[in-house]
Amino acid sequence: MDKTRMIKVSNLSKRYGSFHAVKNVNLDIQKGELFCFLGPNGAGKTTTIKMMTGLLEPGSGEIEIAGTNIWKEPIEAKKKMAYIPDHPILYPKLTGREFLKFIGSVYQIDQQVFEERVEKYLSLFQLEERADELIESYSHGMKQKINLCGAFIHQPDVLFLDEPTVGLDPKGAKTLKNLLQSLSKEGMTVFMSTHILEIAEQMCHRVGIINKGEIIAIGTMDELKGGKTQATLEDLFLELTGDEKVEI
Amino acid sequence: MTRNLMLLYWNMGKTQFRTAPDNTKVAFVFITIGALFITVLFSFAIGGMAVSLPLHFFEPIIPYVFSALLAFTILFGVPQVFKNLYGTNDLAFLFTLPIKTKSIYWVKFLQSFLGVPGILWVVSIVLIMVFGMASQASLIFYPVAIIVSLLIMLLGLSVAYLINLMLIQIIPVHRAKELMTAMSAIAGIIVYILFQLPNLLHQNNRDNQMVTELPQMPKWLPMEWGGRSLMEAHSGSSGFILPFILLLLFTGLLIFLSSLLVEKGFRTGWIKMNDGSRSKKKRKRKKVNVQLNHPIIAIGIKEWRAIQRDMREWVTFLPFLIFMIFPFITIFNNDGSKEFIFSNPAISWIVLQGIFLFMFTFMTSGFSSSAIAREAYSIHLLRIMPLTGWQIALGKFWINWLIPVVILSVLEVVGGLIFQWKLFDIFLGIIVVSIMSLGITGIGLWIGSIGAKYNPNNPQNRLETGVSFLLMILSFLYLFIAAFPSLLVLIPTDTLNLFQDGEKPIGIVGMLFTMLKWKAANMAILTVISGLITLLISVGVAIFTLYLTVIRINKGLTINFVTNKK
Repeated sequence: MDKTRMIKVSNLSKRYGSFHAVKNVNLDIQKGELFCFLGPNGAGKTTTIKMMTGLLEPGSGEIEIAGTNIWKEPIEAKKKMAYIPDHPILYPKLTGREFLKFIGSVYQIDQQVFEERVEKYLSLFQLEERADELIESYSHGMKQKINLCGAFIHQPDVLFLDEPTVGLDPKGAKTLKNLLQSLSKEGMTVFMSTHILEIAEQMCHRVGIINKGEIIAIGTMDELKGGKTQATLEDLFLELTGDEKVEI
Repeated sequence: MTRNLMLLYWNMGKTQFRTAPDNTKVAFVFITIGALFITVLFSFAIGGMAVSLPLHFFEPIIPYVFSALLAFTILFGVPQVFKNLYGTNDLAFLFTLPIKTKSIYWVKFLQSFLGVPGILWVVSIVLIMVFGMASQASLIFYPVAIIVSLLIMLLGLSVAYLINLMLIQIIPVHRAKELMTAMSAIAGIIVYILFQLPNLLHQNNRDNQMVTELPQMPKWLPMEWGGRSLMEAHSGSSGFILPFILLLLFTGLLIFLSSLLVEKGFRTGWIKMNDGSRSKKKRKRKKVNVQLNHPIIAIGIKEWRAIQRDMREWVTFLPFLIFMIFPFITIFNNDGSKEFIFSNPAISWIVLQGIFLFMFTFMTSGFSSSAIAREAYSIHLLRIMPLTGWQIALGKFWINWLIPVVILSVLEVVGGLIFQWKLFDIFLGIIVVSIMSLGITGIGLWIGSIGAKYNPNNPQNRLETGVSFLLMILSFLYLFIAAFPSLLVLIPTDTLNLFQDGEKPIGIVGMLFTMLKWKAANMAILTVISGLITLLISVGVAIFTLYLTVIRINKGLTINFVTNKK
């Protein structure tokens, strides 16, 4: 893995009145790293991702994407990244292909490259047949797929994904997992939040766990296990977040 | 089964009221008191009039009252019926039960009647009774009045049902959900036509403005039948029977026609609305142009697609077009004004340019002020993309300016063909109004960036109330400041011939008169200077407001998302 730092988060905090949504978060993520961001509901995952992608202004702290401060040079930083939210945000009155064309135009991709990538990703996510239909007629999973196509089409340096597998069919989820692994090998940095611990366990180089706005653990799977070879990520997660007693 | 369903709805209604929060109950009581107060107030007024005025005074008024009742029933009924037929949650459950579609339909019909039409009916019965007693009507008047007003209400409701049941079949599946807003607009147009009908159908001279000499309703209209049957019954004459039967048959026919459409319009329409919008036929793949554009052009094209593919967007243009068409019909109905307008192309041109200028100022500002809120939940997309404030503002600006200008150009050409304007005049009209639109598009865009609102229940209401008032004031102000030099360009110097020799008008007309004289003497220079001033004002306002919009965009665009409390 390349040691170039692609995401740097320093002392990031956000308050809503007296509620501390994110407390002093620090992160360093390298080029080509697949980083999984875990935490219980309401722990501060989405708030952190929104601040990192320029959608929410931090209370304090700094965020750098591929060496560019997202709040000081937003356009430059945004050119290097893509964001897939948990609920797909799309233009319902565009067709899938028109949406990709819009993305291609905004990121000013080369025409030839664009056409090649459109065909590649539409076919990968099995959307060719429906690409010329309005997005408003798509199911949740299809919207998520076209959103992913939009993100991959401009090959960002850093990709943020918030619960990307929600709504995807098993084949779509598998395609996404393979694609993320392959793209991270090619140097794309992936920052992904998920509730599916198997995905984190199988795919991610490192895992960060956030609870009540604070990072409570960060490291590779082996580092987190700390010698407990039999322990699963699920056991660790429940232990760290204090939810180990699961009642039925 | 229909009876069981009715009982079910009655019980649901009772439970709903019993479990409603206290403030809803209090509001209900206040509304009832208010309605009673208004009814009593009108009763006194009508009673007083009936005592002091002769009966023939009311003869032409009653059909108008019925027109108003019919109009209100349609206006309130069309969206209400749409909701009852296609929008309620219980239908998914009801259609799975072994109940005939017709039974569900009739219960829905009754449900619709018990809303606004029912209240209007009760109020109208009270007022008619008061009128009858005060004017000492024959006994037969009272039952006839109750049934006639009921028939008018049912007529209005069945028209509302027919509109819904027919439109759901015509409108493409993927647009069906946009129908709701279109419904209200269509109802508004019908109401306007109903009120204009007597004017439109008469070769009128307008010397008489007395109430008693209102243009008489055509004899074939059901409102006229209702009025006639009421007046005949008032005097105890059996002459009420024929118009009464005609009204009864006509209402029955419309109700019957609406019931014929139950399977096709109600059930299939509901399925259309709820099974997703995908065509069952496999579409042929169209060759789509994937040529990439500059980001500014791409934003405009994206905006265009959102407008082009949403019929609600076009509905906002309808009132302007409708209000433009009706004066024409009135002119064409009057031989004198028709001859005058056709023999004076200069007059028709200047009048229409004035109308275009006024209407396009308000139409364009309203249209462009929706540009930010039109993004709705997708506003986040613009925020995460590498787009500068100027790119977003200019992308939205060009398309929101161009669409009204294209519509204007079509209208100018149509006007030119009808009134035989010179080609140069058509061109000049397009240029001047297009230039004026630049400034107003900028104002609309800026206002849209400071007070954008999105209400999922009313997606076309895209501005905060206070901000929409500000837009109205700014539009007036802009029109006033920027239109003056434009008027000089637009008004032909031939207009001077309209003034008699030696006549010197005063005030603004006087100022215009003097300016036109200068223009006649220094035609080229004044036209150029006036044109330049208009251009400067418009472009200046456009640049300034775009700059303000960019500041707002860079700060982070926000839309006030109205929470659905229903």
